Amino acid sequence: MSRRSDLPQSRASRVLRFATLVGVLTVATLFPPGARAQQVSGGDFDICDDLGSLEGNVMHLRGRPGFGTTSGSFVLVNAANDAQDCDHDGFTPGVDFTNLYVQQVTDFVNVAEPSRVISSRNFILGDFLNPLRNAFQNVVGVTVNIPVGTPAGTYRGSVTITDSVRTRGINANGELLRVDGFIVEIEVLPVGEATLLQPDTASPLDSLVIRARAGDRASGVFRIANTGNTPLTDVRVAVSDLRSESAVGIIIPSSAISASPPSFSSIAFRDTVRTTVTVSVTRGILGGRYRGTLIVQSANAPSIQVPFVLIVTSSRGIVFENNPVRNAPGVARIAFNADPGTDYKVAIYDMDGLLAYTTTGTVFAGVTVAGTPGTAANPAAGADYAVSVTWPLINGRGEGIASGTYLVIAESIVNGQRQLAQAKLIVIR
Amino acid sequence: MPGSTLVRGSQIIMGLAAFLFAAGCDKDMTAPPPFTLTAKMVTDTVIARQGSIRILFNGPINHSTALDPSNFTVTNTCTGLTVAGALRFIGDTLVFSPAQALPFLTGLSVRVQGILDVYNRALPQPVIFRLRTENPPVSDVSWEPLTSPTNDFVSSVTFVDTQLGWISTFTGGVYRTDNGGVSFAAYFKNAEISSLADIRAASKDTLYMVGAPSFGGSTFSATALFRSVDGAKTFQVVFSDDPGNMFSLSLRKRTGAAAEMVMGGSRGSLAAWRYDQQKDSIARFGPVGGSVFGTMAALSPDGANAATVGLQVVSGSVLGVAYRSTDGGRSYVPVTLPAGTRLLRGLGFINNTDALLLGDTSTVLRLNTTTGAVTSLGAANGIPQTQIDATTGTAIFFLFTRAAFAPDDRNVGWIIGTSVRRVPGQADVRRGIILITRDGGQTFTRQAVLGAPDNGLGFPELRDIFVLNKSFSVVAGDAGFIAARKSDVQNFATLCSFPAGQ
Repeated sequence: MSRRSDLPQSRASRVLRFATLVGVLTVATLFPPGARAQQVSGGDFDICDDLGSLEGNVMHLRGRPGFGTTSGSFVLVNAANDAQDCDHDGFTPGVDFTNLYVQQVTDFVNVAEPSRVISSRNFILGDFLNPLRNAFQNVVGVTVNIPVGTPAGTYRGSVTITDSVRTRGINANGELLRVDGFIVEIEVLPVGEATLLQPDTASPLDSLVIRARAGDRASGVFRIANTGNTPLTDVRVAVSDLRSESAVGIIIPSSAISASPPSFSSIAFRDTVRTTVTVSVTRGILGGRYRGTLIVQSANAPSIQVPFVLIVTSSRGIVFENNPVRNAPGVARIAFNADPGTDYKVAIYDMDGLLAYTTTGTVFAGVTVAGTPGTAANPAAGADYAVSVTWPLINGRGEGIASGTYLVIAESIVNGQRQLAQAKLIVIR
Repeated sequence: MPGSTLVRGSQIIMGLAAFLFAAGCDKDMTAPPPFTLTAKMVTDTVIARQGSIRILFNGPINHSTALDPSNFTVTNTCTGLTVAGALRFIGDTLVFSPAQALPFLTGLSVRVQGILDVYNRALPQPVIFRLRTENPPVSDVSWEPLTSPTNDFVSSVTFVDTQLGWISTFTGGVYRTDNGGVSFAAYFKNAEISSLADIRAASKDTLYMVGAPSFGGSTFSATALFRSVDGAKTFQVVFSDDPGNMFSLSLRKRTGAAAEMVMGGSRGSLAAWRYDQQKDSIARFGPVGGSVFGTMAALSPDGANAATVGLQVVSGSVLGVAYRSTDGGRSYVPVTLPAGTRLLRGLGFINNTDALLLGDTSTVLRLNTTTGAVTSLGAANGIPQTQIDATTGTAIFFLFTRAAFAPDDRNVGWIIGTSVRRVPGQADVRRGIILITRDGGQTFTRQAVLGAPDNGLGFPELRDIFVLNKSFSVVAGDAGFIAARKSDVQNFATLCSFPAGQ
């Protein structure tokens, strides 16, 4: 936005705003002789209907809420002869205007919904109107601030300019002199934006956490808020697969998770809607944290993703990745709950009661940001609450084991208590 | 045949060796030797925004287990979300490439688990690596946006302490805060005053500002100095000139003395004013005549020196012009500027004698107001220079408008202005720019605003800066923008400073 200038405005508009036009242009160079106008007394100025940004007396501006519109301009002309009189309503040689002012700016009213307006206070003149010397023109910049939250749409208002000293009059044809105006049409562009909120407060939702026991159904609630300036359309809620945070490779598929309602055809401007996400926790699944992503998408807003965390509070004995185990993977994965940083032991017996394989270890207790390993007393980020032991289908001597049924016994500490779990595993080679 | 004897002998030795080995060990001959699989990251702990993460194992790996996404997860520690990307092997190195560029300074946690080697031996425990994405181009994000009460052009800002302050808008509004800018309340608005430029506080009750009064619609070409004695509830005209434009107000309030100030602008051509509150006296300089127009004037901290700058139109070209004063702005003499000096838009005093003159196309000049000596500052001083991409025609250039230095430490100061990105056929993208100096204006570095788009650099054009002290300064600009710097720590960006999508 350019500032005021002490130059005669016809020069200032060129020099201060852009300094690109060279020399002094009078309107005579811009308006070829055309329809004949009339000489009137007291002078007249015009806002030329098709100069500057005006198209048929309408200035089209556009912008987004929270910002100014694009810049427009209108051209004030003080005609000294009929060739310069762009509105053909009258001219007077030798009359200057030095007291022009914006007599009125109406509120800009939403064409489709007149109750919505952009206040006229947001209208900004980028250049001064005065002085408007005879035979000169002033190019006056215009912009309009669009307040934050202004709904999308077309807004229309008008601007009237007159002179406080040389008051309005009429010519011989009854046309008004020394007053002119134009219409401003503002297109407020739609900005689709959604925000996830806590169910009962306006706080943002940074993650959705649900607690449940294995075999149960559990739900979490949140709200989707339309924080843009246009209705959100085709809003859909989805949750990705949930993967165990522990190194056991267990997944709760997204098919076990539902949203109610799963989609909305529209969320009105400034409205919020509640959504419930329900997880059917797999029966027999290990305890621990399962992490995925809650995704809210809309046809006209950027998608939102926040972590979705399911905490399974129950523990179970042993979970096998595959049972029976065949040659193809070549390994059996045996998972069970265990507290981080504690020791565990796994023993595998054949059906004769002979020990086929045994292994021990310590549950991963995570790593601090500084790189220090966590401990049982102070687990660090990423600590496991379950263990996955890989049995490469060999015995203690490194020999491949035979097909058959094996008894797997896992001894670990769960929630501070010693747990002894056992299950049968079939190997088919 | 000697040859056949040799062959038979070697066969016997080999057979014996095989028997002894078999008799001495009943283990499976195919069993692998004792071994513990481990993984290490071969990438630096700081990667590019879309840089790859490389993991190397200490033995041959079962590729299918390594390429299983469940076994190699990268988590954005700023959002808690898994980072999407592709896994592949390059030789023995497992490489993860993010699907899209991550924000600067994004913390990443890489968890490798459940991977088997070619003998089906498992990684004994998960392995976690931590790394982050690279620093942004400007990592000093010590400015924080304040909650603006308007989206109008904020033309000026002033504070008397860290809590009480005011902003003025170009359209004539004055807003007040009493909580350090946490919130502002509308305080003054008069339809007869527009084009407000600077507002400056002399005390909690006394403020001055410059703008254009209409005096009941009787004039639209006047300019005036306004004063409030009730904390900006009302303003009265101190003096006015018609025609005239005051674009700036530089106020000094020395301990035990009344406020003194200079204003810069034009009265037909470049002019300046000095007002002494104690004497209620006005000293006018100019108009200097010709096609010379003023943009700003400033008063030295001790009130002894002053300078004013502007532009002159010479054969269709717009060049800079400057005047200096050694009597506190009562009279001025021209300054000889380097040839071709661009339009000067503003200035600010570094100390009692030296001022920075600022203008178009990265113009920064250091003027000694007592001697008239002028030194140009450029790229070597950290002043960003015009960048032109010859292939696309894109040009980025910089206009500087204001400079202000901390009264309690004249080594610390700022230059503000506008960066313009011009792409042929597109509208200009205009943004604010902030440069800080810590060595009295010798060198400058760029600063960013926390939370602003484009890694803190996408804030609106700036109009004014007010420096209360080196630990409290405020800038204001277009679209209602106000930001403050409330401590003098060099607040370099930390992890998660830049949200996704910026």
